[in-house]
Formats: sequence, C-alpha cells, structure tokens
Amino acid sequence: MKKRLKFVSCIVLSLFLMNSCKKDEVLTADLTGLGGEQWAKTELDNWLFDNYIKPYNIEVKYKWDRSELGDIYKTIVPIKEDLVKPVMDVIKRTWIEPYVTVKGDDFFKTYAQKQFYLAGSPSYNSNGTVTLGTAEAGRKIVMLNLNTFNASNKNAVKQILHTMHHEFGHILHQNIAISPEYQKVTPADYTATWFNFTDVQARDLGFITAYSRSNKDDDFVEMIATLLEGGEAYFDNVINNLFVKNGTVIKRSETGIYEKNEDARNKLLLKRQFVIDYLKDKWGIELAELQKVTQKAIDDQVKTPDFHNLLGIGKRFTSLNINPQKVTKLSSKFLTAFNTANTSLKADAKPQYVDNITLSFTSATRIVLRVNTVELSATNLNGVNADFNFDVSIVDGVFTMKYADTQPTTANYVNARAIEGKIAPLLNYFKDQEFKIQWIDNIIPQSKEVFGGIFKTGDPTSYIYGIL
Amino acid sequence: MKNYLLFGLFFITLFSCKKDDSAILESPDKRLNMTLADYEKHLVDTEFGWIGYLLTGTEKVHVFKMAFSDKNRVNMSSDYAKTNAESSYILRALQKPTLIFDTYSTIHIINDPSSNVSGGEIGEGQITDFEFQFIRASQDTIELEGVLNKSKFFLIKAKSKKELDDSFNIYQDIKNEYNKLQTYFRRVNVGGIDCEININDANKRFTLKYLENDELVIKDVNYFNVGNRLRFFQTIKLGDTEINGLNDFRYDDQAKAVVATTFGGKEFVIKEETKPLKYEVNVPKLWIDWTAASGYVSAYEGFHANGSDDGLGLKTLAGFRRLDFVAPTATVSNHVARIVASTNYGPIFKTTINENGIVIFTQTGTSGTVPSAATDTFNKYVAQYTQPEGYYIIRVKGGGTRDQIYDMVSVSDGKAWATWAY
Repeated sequence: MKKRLKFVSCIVLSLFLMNSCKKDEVLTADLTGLGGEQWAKTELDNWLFDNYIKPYNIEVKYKWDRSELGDIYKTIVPIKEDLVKPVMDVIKRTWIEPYVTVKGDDFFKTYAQKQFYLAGSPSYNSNGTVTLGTAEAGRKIVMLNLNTFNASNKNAVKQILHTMHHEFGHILHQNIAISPEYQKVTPADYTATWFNFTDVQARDLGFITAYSRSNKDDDFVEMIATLLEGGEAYFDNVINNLFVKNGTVIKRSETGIYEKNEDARNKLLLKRQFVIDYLKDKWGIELAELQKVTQKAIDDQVKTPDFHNLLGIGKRFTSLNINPQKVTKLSSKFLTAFNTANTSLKADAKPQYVDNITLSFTSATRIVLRVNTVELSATNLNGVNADFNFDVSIVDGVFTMKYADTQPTTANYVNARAIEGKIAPLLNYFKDQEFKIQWIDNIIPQSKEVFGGIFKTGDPTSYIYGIL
Repeated sequence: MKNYLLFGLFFITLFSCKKDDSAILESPDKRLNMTLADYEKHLVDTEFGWIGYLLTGTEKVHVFKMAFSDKNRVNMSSDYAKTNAESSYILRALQKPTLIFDTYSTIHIINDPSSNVSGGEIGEGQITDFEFQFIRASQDTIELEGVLNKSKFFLIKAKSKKELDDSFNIYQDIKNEYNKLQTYFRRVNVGGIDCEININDANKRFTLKYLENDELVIKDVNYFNVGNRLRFFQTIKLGDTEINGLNDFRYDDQAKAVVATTFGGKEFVIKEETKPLKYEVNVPKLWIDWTAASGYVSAYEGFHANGSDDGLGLKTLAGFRRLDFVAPTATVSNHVARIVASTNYGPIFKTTINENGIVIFTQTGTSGTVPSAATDTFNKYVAQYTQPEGYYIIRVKGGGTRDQIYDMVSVSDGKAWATWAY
C-alpha cells in the first residue's frame, strides 16, 4: 500500500511538473505586412476611402507593388500621385455611376471587381503591342498607361473608359459565360497576330477593332467597350461605312450605287445582338439605356463645345463632306434637291452623277461648295471637282450663303460652268439661304463629334450633315 | 527497481521542460519590423539629406538629392531633373529589407519604359531601378542594389548644406590630375600585382588589366567622384586586395606620378609607362585591314604629343578638320597620311609591320601641295610619324567597320598617340 502511495504520488508529481511545462504564449504577433501596409494617410487616401472603399468596397491601389502585375519582370513605372484622383474620378462618373443608375447599387457591389491596381506606363510586349489593362478572375483590374491622362481631353477620357469597359466586360463574362454561339459568327478570322492588321481591315471582316481578332473573349468585350464608349451613333456609322472595295476605292454600279459589304455588316450586327441579349438575359441590363447614360456621363465629364466653335478656318474642322450613301438621315428637303440635280445630270449630253459635295470654310468670309461628279460607267472613280464660291459672314455659327458675283476661272470653276445649269436645284438649296452650324444629336442621338451639320434657320427640318 | 524507473520518469519530465530561450530573443516578425523601423529612422534622421549616386544598366551615373520624412514622403531632384518633387516611399520586407519609391517621381523618369520619357529603349528605359534592397549601411553611407535590374545605388549623408548644394557639380578633378601623366600607358601596383590602368572620366569608367598565366584579365568598374575622392559602384578584387574607392587623388610633381589612398588606407600610385603590359601583335594587321575596308579612317583630335592634346599644333592649320589614314588606291600604291584642311595634303608612307607587331612608316613621297604657311607643322608631323621606333596599335573597340576604334602609340616614349575611328 505504501509502495502504491509512493507510486501514485510520483505520478501526481510528474503530472504536476508536466503541467508546469505549459507555455503561456501570446498568440497575437505583429506580423509584417499583415493587415495591409501602413503609411501616413494623405488627403488622396481619404478621398479614395470615401469614394471607393466606403460605398463599393473597392480598393484602389496606386502605390507600387510589383507583385500586383501579371509579369513581374517587365519595366513598368508607378502612376503619378496627382493623377490618381482625376483618373478615379472619371472612372467613377463614367463607369460606376452609369452601371449604378441602370442596374442599381446591389448589382455593382456584388459583381464589381474588388481591387484596382494603377500604374503609370504601358506594359510593352515583345511583339510590339502595348498592354493597357488586364482583368483577373473577376476580382481585380489593372489599369496601365495612366501617366499621360488629361481629364479635360476627351480622347484621353474615352481611352481610359474603353479600357475600363473592356476589362469590366471580362469581369462580367468571368462571372457568367458568353454563349458559345458567339464565336461561330466569325470563326475563321481570329488570329494570334491580330496586331499586324488595322482596325479598317478588321472591320471589313466583321470585327469592331483589330484587337477583337485576338480571341472570342476579347472580341466580345471590345464590342461592349466600343458600344458604350463610342455610343450608338459611332457604332452605326462604322457599320454604314462598310463597303466592298476595289483596292482602296469603293466598288460601285454604273449608276454610282455603292456596293455594301453585307457580310461584314451582318456579322457586326449579329455580334451586337449577342451583346444586347447577353446583357439583357444574363444581367438584366438594357444596352441602349446604359449607352445613353454612359454617353451623357462622358459629355458631362468633358463638355463638347458647340459645333460652330469647332468648324471654320483655323479650327479643328475646316470642311464638311456630305455623301448621301454614307449616312442615313439627311433631310428629305436636301435629298430632293440632290436627287433632282442628279437626275438631270444623268440625262446630260455627257451623262454623269453627283457623288458627294463638300463645304469648305476657306476664309472668314468664304465657303467653297465643291461638287464631285463622276461620269456614268467611268473607270476614273475620283471624278471631277466643280467649285462654287459663296460669300459669307459667320456670326455665332449663323451665316447666309451669297453666291459670289465673280467666280474665278481656274479649272475647277470651269468645270462648274459646265454643270451649273443642270444642278440648279442643288445650288438653290444653298443660294441666299441662312444656315446655322449645329450638332445633329437632336436627329441622331449620341452623335456629337461623330457627325456635324448645318440647319436652315427658318426650317429645322431642312439640314445636311457629314461624318467628322 | 520500480522506484528507479519512476524517478527516471520524473527526471525526463523535468528535463523535457527546459526552455532554451537565449538564442532567439524575439519573434522573426518583431525583429523584421524593428529592422525596417531602424532603416527608416536612419533615412529620416539627417540634417541636410542624402546625396544618391545611381549607376544605370546603360552605364550612366546619375546624382540625386533626397530628403526622407517620417510620413513616407520623400523630396528629390536629380542632375537630369533639378526641380524638387515630392512623392512617396515605403520600406518593405521582401527577400531583404527594401526601399521602394512607390509613386512616380524623378527617379522613375529614367525607369520609364516609354522611350520618349527615359531616352532609353522602348520597354526598357535606362535599365535601372526604383526598388532597392539594403546591402549594407553605415552611419554616413547606405549601399543599395536594385531588385529588377540590380542597379547599384549609394546614399551618402550630406555633411553640410554646401555639400548638398554642390552635389550636381561636374567635378573635373580626377580628369585634370590623371591627364598630367604624359604617357599613354600607365601602371599601378595593387597588392603586388602589376596592373595597366585606364581611367575614362567622361564615362566614369575605371579599368585595370593584369596578367594571370600570361593572359590579360580585365576588371572594369564605374565610379562617382566628389572632388578628388572617387568611389566604385562595385568592389574591385585583386588577389587578396579589395578596393572600394580612392581618396585624395592627385598628381605628385616630385614623384611624377598620380598618388591616392585606397579606402582601406593603402597607397595607390599610378606611374607613367612606355610599354603595354601585354602587346597583341596581331592587332596592327587588323588595323590595316580595317583601313582598307573603310577606304580611309580618321583621327579628329590630331596627335596627342608632348603631354598635351594636339601637341603638334595640327588644329591650328588653316581650315583643319581631321587627319585621315588613306588606304592604297589605284593611283597611289601606298598609304597617305592626309591632313584634311582648307586643302588636302599629306606624306605618302610605305607601311610595314615588323615581327614584334610594330608599325613603321617610311616616307616615299608627298600627296597634294603643302601650303607654305604649314611647312613647319607639316615637317613636325612627318617627323613624328617616321620615328624609327615605330608605333603600337591598340584596339580600343571592336565590332563592325563603323564601330571600331584603334589607338596608335609611339614606341619611343609612349607619349605620342592618335585615335583612329571610322
């Protein structure tokens, strides 16, 4: 019994000792980098917190972190600090707010990626292309080439927006896949060497940009990006200018009717329908509405000046080319004049037709109307130019076209004398009429800077416009 | 028996309890954070700021002024962008403690992959860095190395406002002192090893050549200098000797040598020498062939002689543009050492290479008419060329016909030379 006691006490003692071995370790350790990096917060950090983290739980990382980039061995530099706010402000107004307006906060908070990473330079690739952004696993968007950004330059805003909508398009299809039917629209023309081709070449094959040819996903999101950033009028204008070509010249019939590239047009229209259906069926978003809101947001961001500030001698545009076969909604009053003139020209001793006309603002007081005519069944498709001088005095974009008393006698004016009798209805459309230089977005929505026109001041249903 | 076993158990329990706390005091994370905090304190804690010297992969040395705050902000300017700019920095624990300039600033300009910004190649910039690992730090010097391109970057603590203000000065001291040596070849003995030395101050390049098993070994480093103190971006190792830089670099009139002290406190004496350490005897033939392939080759700076550039006064000739060495043609079967000035004229030389690879010029005639005003200079020029001891030809740069550069050095005293380029 004694022995037994001894044994028990020994066990107890050793257990006690064993127990005393328990380390009382502190389980909280200050791990380096855990809980995010710490730095003295600036006004910019507070702004990002208020505008991105608080409302949308999106982190905007603008400080350099090589590990955020896909390829860590590339030479890329960070963004300029003073550009972070302008960039993110534009993105908020022209990307977040349109989506939130159309689809609501919840959609946005659920599906928007949770992180932006911003860098200053582009990422140059060995094949000569540059990468402007990437999207990863629906959670993160890397935006590059931001150091050249200028918030008051519309093209810079549109470029960022294009990248943004492109990458967010990836986020959408990374969440809900695109119909496999999409890639059957232009199955044979996807290519890894897309960068060797121009946008024009790509469009003739039914792709909206050269980059679209890269693969089906990029094709799809380039469509989304172009439809939203460019707007409806821009997209329609691309479609309406796809013609079959002989070399660089549009193929046409003997009577001057352009041959449309129906194949490319149909492919692009079909792709647009896929985008419309995808957004509607999978996400409940009306493309048309989103387009409208996005375009307005862009316009609010960088106000487009009145067209009369952009058209004239020494301004961004110095002429207006009107070609009824390239645009769709010219006023019937102008078309009547144009077609009547054409009919009598075709019945001329030397049968010809008017292909297009140009109004050139050659000085503060002069507009030259150039009528381009082509002989029926002509092989020389450049045609002949006939010039008519008008005296004008333009005040706030309003002017009256007075046919100049003396017309020069150089070649183009000699050509004019030969046809002026036949095209009288066309000339009369302009002679002594008062016009106002205007955007035509009341006729074709979202068309500022795509089209510009002149309206008769006495009759708003009589106008012409051209592609800018 | 059972008791012994029990006591055994007791002791095992007791021993198993022993903690060995002495080796590591704190957790790794805590120590890492302390190290980062120490480095930050070191960077922030200066009265006048830091002067930075960066060596790019394109072998350019750039100077920076930097002042770090304890709020992750840094003010900097550089010799290529002198306006002060504020940006941010951070210390991060990567493979090693790392200093990162994490928003765009002056130092990013030379890093920019857009060639119109950096002046470098597209996608590369000047092949340099803006993230730097700490290699070592002392009270007044921090040595860093770039993460991506391994650029060397030294931060030297400014001792005074004046020192900081002067940091963008272009110091001529090294060049001026070094050029007081008269011979083309110069020697220095480093830890018992005889070295041929060349210092190119325009490119901030320091070259030592020495023989190992009768083969030439070349050690090349870049340096930066403040006044007559120069510091290498990489350590030169020669046998047991390591050199990081030189203090008090100056020409000593009495010794007829450039003397300096290494950072290790050893004497560094550069002496004049008439012969190359090892002469490559096949080079003269390459030079003659290159001349033939080029039609003619040119020396734009005339002859260096008598301790000065253009020692023969060729540049004072009316309308002087350059010296040419013209390959034989259908009409002149020998070389012409043409002076290209208001008119062209020059001696015609029969050129021979002896068994030691020495080029010897023998005059056979004169091409063109020597203006009477030029007669004296012309005679000195011919006399220089036709020294009976002849010339060494040293290849400075290889490559395509348009890239090659050769030096022609007098054998008699090693004090006259001309540099030939396409």
